[in-house]
Amino acid sequence: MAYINFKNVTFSYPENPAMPALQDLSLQVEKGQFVVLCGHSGCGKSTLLRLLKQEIKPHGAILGDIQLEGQSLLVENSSSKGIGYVFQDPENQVVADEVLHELAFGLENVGLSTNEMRNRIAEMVNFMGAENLLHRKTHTLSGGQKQQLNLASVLLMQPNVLLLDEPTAQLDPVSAREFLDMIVRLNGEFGLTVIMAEHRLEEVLAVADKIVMMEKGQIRLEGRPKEILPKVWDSSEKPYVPTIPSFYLKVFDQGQEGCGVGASSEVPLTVKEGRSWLRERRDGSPVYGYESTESTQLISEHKLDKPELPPSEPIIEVKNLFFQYDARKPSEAILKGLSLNLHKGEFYTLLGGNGSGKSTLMKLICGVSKPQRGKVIINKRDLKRWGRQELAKMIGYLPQNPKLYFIQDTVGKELQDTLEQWGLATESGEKRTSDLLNSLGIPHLTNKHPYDLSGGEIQKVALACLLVRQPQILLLDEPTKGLDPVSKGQLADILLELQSQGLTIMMTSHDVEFAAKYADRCGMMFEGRITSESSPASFFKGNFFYTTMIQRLFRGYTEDVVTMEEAIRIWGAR
Amino acid sequence: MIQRFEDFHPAFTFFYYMGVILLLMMFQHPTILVIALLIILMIHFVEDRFQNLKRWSLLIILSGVLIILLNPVFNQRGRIVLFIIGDHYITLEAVLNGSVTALSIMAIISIFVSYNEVMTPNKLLFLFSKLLPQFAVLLMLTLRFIPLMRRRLEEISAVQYSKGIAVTDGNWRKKVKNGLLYIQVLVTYSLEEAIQTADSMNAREYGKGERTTYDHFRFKKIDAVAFLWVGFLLIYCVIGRLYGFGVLTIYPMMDPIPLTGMEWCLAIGMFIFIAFPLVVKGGGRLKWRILISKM
Amino acid sequence: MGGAVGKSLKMRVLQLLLLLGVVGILASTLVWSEHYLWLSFGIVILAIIIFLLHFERRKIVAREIVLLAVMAAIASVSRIPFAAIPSVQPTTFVIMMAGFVFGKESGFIIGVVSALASNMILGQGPWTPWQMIAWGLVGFSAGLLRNWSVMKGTIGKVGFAIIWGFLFGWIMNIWGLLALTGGGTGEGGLLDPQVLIPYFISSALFDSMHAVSNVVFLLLFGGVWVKLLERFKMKYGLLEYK
Repeated sequence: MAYINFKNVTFSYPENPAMPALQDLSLQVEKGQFVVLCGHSGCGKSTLLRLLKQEIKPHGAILGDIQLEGQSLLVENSSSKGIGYVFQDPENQVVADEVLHELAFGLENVGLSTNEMRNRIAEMVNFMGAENLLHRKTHTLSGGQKQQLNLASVLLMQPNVLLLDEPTAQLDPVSAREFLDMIVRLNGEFGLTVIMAEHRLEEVLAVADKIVMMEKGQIRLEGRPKEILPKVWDSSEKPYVPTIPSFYLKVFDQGQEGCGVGASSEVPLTVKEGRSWLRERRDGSPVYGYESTESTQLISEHKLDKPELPPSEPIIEVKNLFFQYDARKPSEAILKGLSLNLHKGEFYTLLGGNGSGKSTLMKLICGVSKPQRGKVIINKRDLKRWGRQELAKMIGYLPQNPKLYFIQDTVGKELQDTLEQWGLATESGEKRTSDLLNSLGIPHLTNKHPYDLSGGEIQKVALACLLVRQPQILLLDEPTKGLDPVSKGQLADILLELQSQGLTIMMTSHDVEFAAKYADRCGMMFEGRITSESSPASFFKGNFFYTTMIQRLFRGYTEDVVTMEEAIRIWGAR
Repeated sequence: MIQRFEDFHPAFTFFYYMGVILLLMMFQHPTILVIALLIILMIHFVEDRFQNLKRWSLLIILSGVLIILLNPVFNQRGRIVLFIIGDHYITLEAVLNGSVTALSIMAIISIFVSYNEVMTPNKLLFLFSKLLPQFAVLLMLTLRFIPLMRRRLEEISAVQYSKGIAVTDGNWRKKVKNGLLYIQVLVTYSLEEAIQTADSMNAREYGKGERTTYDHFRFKKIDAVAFLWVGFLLIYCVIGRLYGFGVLTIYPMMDPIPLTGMEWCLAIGMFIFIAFPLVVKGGGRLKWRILISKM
Repeated sequence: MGGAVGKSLKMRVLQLLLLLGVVGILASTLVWSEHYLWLSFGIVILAIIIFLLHFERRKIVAREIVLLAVMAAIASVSRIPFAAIPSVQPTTFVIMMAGFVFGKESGFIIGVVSALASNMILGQGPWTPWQMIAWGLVGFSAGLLRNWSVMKGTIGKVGFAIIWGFLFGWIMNIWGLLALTGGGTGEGGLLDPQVLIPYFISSALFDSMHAVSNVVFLLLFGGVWVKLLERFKMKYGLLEYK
């Protein structure tokens, strides 16, 4: 008897009874299992999770049965006390102004005495190693810390099952890793049953007992990671397969003579497994003994593929920029003499840790903030001498959170509003807008409220609104954050298309793979300055930690492979 | 351990401050108020060498001066005329009346400055959670949201500014319109997101049963002693005041200004009340000395 | 544990204290009729407490309490974008709109909480209770009058916005007036028209700016905001509470 049992569950929301969110879905989860749900936004992952948690169960019509330890959760007054739930957004879940209050909140709700609360909190704080955070104001915590706090508050309720709805989607990679490590520990050391919705399979593959691939309210595929990945690879959900296994599978696909994946082969999930597979291949057949001497040839090959841009005019010049939020505290300066040049038609990615000043730099470039010292020159004219409307027409800025972009309550109105604001509400303007919507694949969204869209959709819509005014420069602040792999691919296509039309693109990102694959140049921000800057191939070449999965896989075999395409080319060339 | 004034139970601290304000409002006598104000200034000096008071000094002095000046302007009553401007009589009574009010207001604002320092939001929240638990949750959420809303507003103004919608542009009407557009985005966005906050509360069993509160502060013996002591003084003062002592009657006939013996007895009670933080501090010092001398 | 018993006992104690407070204030007005306006402090505070006790009696679900908190927090930060434009006070408008859509009780509590919370952050003073009651009443009256036919029209709403521009100032003036006159009555006292009229005229400039900004906000945004907040009322599943 399964611990958690979905029996032919069909669920539909009242707004849309014809299109059930879950359709005849059956799923069993055993006690202590680590289950990962994945699939596009809107495939029913959240609905599935929420149906397990009585207190936040969505309203709607349900058929079938959901059981926890043989008890139906659908009968009146059934309890899901033993189930903890962590949501996606770290910010929204916090209810108290101080960490200690936050931790106590749930315990107060269940009516514990102060003594009991104190004991439980002491234990938890100890486990998480968060003693020094106890009296901090919650709004001073970082996103990662907030999410850890949310997890701790849920764990204090002593659940047996932990449900997590894309808990790391809004976190930077370091915090995400820390958070996932904690989940893995809870599953491994305390036997907590974990069901987690997640796009980024990279980190969870090695620990998950079961991957469930969902599509349109149904389970498409389910099984152990190693069993399921080849199947996912062969389906339309290909982009979900993380780098290392997909490299393996790609090689497998090529299936050339002597180029098979090897006898003992099982899909490698981690860098470690991947490297041991590579070693096996090399030792097994001498053909694959890459020597470093060959790498020079590879570089030239890479250069053929992505030629260095012909030296075009600089469009953005940043000279010796200093910036601090509080003018009285020079020690807290964000930018300390930063310089940067961007050429027309370039695609530049700014990488760097949290709080290194990437977003601040963007705000300075588009004139939202004013630097204390230094210069920003746009199109050979000092930023100070640009009128603001002029500048807004020149530069399109997409914030980290595209929702804040919208003023009107439908996409169509927002577009109309933008057209009117820029005096483009003419026939040709409208024609261009509809062409734009078509090329972005979003003409069907015009009547929707921006907030009802998925992460990928809202981004496209915001981009459309930006592009209406025909800017020459696009500044994108972490556009890949929280996107599922499919939307990420679409974003890349859009950006490359815009670049080919002559737009200059600058984006910030934590997404090393994305930067390596699509950018012309990458820059690393550290200590208020850009410390290194070059084409992705040489940028990631020397890095040890801050680099792509493929580079980590091939390190020592050959130094110059950074992206999948390059790696495949090497294998193909053999 | 040495007891500091900030360490007393919030219920006591609150009681003390409300008591001081009540006394400052009850005893409308220049002599008493001057001494009371001096004691309050001393509390500030001992606490932080006037660091906090400085920020408020402009408000305090301004309101004091304004009240003293304005009173004779509106009020020509009184028998003792000091001087005449045009056909306007400036009377001693009016000036005194103004000074008493001014002193009282200045003292009240000064004690509030200390209150704001000692009664942290946490302590007030704690008191509310004991008396009005549901309201306390609401207040806690609001206090948590305020910094969040501030940050969101910053983000919104950055984005909208980059779109060419700014509060620095155009005429008054345009500016005001753009400003409220920011607020409108903030409302829409925040209400949308806050559903998740409610869900997170529900997921942690909010509203399911009787709620308890985490006791961040413990009521100790020393709090009880302090309550008794200060409570006794307050009752003493209130009874004295009910008998008509401690107030300078100005109209219709002005009393002599100097305090009578009985009034001094009463006033001293009030001074001891107000000086409670000083007493604690002095006691702490003494205890510390004794501890050191014993070593 | 007898939670329910504990609660009703607490309530009873509170009610007893309240009764004592009312009796105390009445008794003291007899003794100090001279300074009865000082006592209005007491009355204002008691009025707020009575209301809060009332608020406490109804069990409020998480969604509603979060909605109230969001509105209160926004009301108290809404001045920020207008830092460069003096004497524009959007807080009143936000609370008014909340009262229109969410009703008198929610309107009152949003006003009270936003005043209290911003004072807790910026520093409290003797003006805190007056601000609480003034903004509380803005929300309350908006909720009370929203179904009145006059208020459905633009003219009614504009009138309401103008009245509150001045009324708000006057309520805050009671505190200033009190300070000025020491609360005495009679000639040269609080109610002497010689004092009253110049005082109110001097604040009229600020009050009329407040009224003008209320009207501008209302005309430009009133309709949109009512629609917007109504949408959230539906979305939060908040049924009308009396």
